[in-house]
Amino acid sequence: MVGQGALRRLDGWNMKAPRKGNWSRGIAWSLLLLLASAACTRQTRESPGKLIDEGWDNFSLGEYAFAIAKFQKARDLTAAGTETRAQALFGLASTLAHRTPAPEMDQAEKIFNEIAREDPDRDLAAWSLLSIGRLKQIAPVGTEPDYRGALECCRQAADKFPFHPAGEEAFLHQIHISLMLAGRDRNKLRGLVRDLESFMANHPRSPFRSSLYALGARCLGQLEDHPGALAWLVKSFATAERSTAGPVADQSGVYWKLAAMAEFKCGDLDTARKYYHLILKEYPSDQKKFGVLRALERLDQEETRIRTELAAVRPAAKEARR
Amino acid sequence: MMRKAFESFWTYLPLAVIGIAYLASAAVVFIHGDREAPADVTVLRIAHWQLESGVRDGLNELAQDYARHRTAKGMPPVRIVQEAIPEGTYGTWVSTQLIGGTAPDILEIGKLPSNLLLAYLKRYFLPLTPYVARPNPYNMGTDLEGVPLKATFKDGMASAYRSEMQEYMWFALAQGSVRLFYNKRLLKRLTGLDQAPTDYRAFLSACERIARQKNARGLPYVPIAGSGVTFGIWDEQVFTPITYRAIEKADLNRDGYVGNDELFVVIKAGMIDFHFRPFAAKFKLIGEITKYFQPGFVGLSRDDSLFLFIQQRAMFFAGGTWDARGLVEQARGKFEVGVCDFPFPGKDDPDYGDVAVGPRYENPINCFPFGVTKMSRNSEAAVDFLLFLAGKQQNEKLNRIIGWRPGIKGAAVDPFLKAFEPRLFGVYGAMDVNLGGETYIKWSQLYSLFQVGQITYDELVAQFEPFYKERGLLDFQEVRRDWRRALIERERFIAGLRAAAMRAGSDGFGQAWVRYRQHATAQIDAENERMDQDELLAQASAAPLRTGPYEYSPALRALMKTNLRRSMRKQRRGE
Repeated sequence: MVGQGALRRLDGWNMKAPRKGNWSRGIAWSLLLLLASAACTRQTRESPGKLIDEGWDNFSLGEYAFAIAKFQKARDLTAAGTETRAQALFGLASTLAHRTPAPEMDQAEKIFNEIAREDPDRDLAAWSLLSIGRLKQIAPVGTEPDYRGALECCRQAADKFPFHPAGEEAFLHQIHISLMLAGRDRNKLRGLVRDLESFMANHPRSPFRSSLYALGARCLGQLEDHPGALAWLVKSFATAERSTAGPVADQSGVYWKLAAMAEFKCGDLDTARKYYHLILKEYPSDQKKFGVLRALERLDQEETRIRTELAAVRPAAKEARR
Repeated sequence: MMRKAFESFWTYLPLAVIGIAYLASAAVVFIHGDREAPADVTVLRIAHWQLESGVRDGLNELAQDYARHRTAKGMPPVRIVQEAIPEGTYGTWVSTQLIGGTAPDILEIGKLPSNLLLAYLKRYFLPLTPYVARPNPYNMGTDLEGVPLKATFKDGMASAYRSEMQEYMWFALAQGSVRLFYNKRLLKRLTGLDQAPTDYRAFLSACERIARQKNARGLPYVPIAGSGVTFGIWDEQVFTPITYRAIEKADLNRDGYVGNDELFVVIKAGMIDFHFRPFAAKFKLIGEITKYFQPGFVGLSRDDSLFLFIQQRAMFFAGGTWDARGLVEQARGKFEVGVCDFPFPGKDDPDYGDVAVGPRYENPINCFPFGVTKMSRNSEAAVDFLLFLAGKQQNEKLNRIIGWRPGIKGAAVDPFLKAFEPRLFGVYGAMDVNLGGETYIKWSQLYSLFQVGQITYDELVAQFEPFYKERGLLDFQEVRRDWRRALIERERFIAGLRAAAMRAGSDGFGQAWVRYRQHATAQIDAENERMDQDELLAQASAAPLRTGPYEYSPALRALMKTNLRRSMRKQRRGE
């Protein structure tokens, strides 16, 4: 009954189209227009610099489509050859290389090359060459990394920009890849050690010294020069950068590594003891403390055994000489 | 006309009811909202899932203290509104709130999918790094005055640091650890003991005496209230640390720990097998302890075991600091709750003395973590309130009311909770057989069957070891592929750090560059580790490994002798 009445009334409303109906329709349309206009936003012109910053923010959040759009817009707003355009291109190439899914490595490499070609001496040219090297080395799962290609790119970057942060980093990767490819070839390993020594002499302030000393220690370890390797590892620790922004760096792992190397590779009891004691002194609550005490006990027992053996040998040797 | 009026009434009645209900709701919201949030008062919303007794009271009381403090200092007034959301729905609720932009100012961080947590943190939470190097202003007048905030936390804020973001993301306001709760009155009645024994043999003896007795209803007492969850606690605290000596054979990279990859290599190489003494000891220990759990414990929930304990049908219950207050209250008037450490065999134990070379180690963790959401319109006030809660005196009061251990150094601990002081010296586990994939499934199935006594350890080994060596290789290779995926993911993160460092300037120096380089060079360490593993696998395939990483070979002994002789000569010459 109610429904039929409503329908009749609705029909009446439609058929009669009274002034009251016009009013209602007018109000409804106005409301609709008002709502629609609320959805509109005023387009403001963004600067290329701001677009690039936003692009990197999107990159950090994993919103690669938005990042690409921002970098492309920044690129389109800037003139060819300018630093800002190069920054936009660098962001675009980085995003294409790292986005998931479907990274576009070839396109990224093309853009990095474009940056390097436009102005071969600029800062971003160095970073672009390094980035190409990294792309070749950090290949997707299922693809064999192009170590030789990466090595060549890193060598180019290191040779062209020897004192630039990107160039020094490229040298680090160059040595690392060379070490991986050298295997047990003693000549190649010795060559790498010489290259490293030369770099250290010419780059006394390089922030990569610590990592390079660590690679040098690996080279020497492969050459079975374990005391030499230990000495380079100690230098690596001494030259390591310390970040004040994060938690206080826990060096107990480094001390343990040095102690273990001294004990099991070099047979150097005193150096081993030195680093085990450093763990006890600087990290008294470290999880490895129990292991450290056992290690010191082990060293003491071995030293006692050796001394006893030597003491027994000495009188016999004296007797033999008489 | 009457009929027409009647019809009109019925037609418009639903609309009228809706309209009245809407107006009434709007009125209630307006009036109530004004009462909750007068115009001149900043409202901070804080949400968490801790429905345990005391948490809401603690936060409410500290909120009032904070409001009074602000008034006393002439600061703009703040009202803290607490929202306690049930644990089971918290994750969904938080996700909805964050995505919808309506999240509270302060959120307890957790119950989110672990694979999405990082994305949530980046997108929705404010980094708190700028505050960690500064002293907490609320520690003025205490011995922590002037001490950088991160150094005032018991764990140094290590748990709050997300290395993937290089940021501190929360303040964790309490310290958690686990122990055994027990029924003091029942213990005295059934064993004559005033305190629970922590000596392993004495503990087993007490359990045996308890198991032989029945309650007034003729039901046997259960010495240890068991469940899947409590078994996990026992596993972590007692069963796994007994495997420590596996380090002597399996810590191939000599970093003090045994990774799942190292264990696989040494077993595949034939250096040890699953009958290796520390491993066999672990499973013997499991059998001896779970003998005193109730039947079918594997399928029971934590609440099932808790219920058994409260009903005084079970003597011991494994739980955490977060359980303490609730247990004491539930037991009030019925029995007194005691707390003791887990029994762990010592060096003089007749069965385990050769493997139990030390006490067990506990990793101290800070819990009860709170972060500030980016959508908070009062983020400064929100951070200030969290700093207030992290002040030594305030943290002490908060945790005293809740019944937990404070997360701030030097804050006084409730005497009842002193037994929860973490053990920071001892042995830890060295038997990680989890290679993921089918190997993990097989292990879980067999481990469960062992726990309920359906198979012996020998049967478990007979079924698992061949599978581990053969199928495990495939899963191990998949783990390595995962390593490569992680390398790619990290390279992406490094690209972001590089961009941030370039925007910060400083020509390659400054903290942004240091952060960048630490991650960039870590990629090299990761690849080197994999190269070392490849070499070990190759060696293992070629010939069995004979000498353990911490054993002296004859050649090494000869080298030590030479070095020592040289050193002795130098000493004799006075060098």
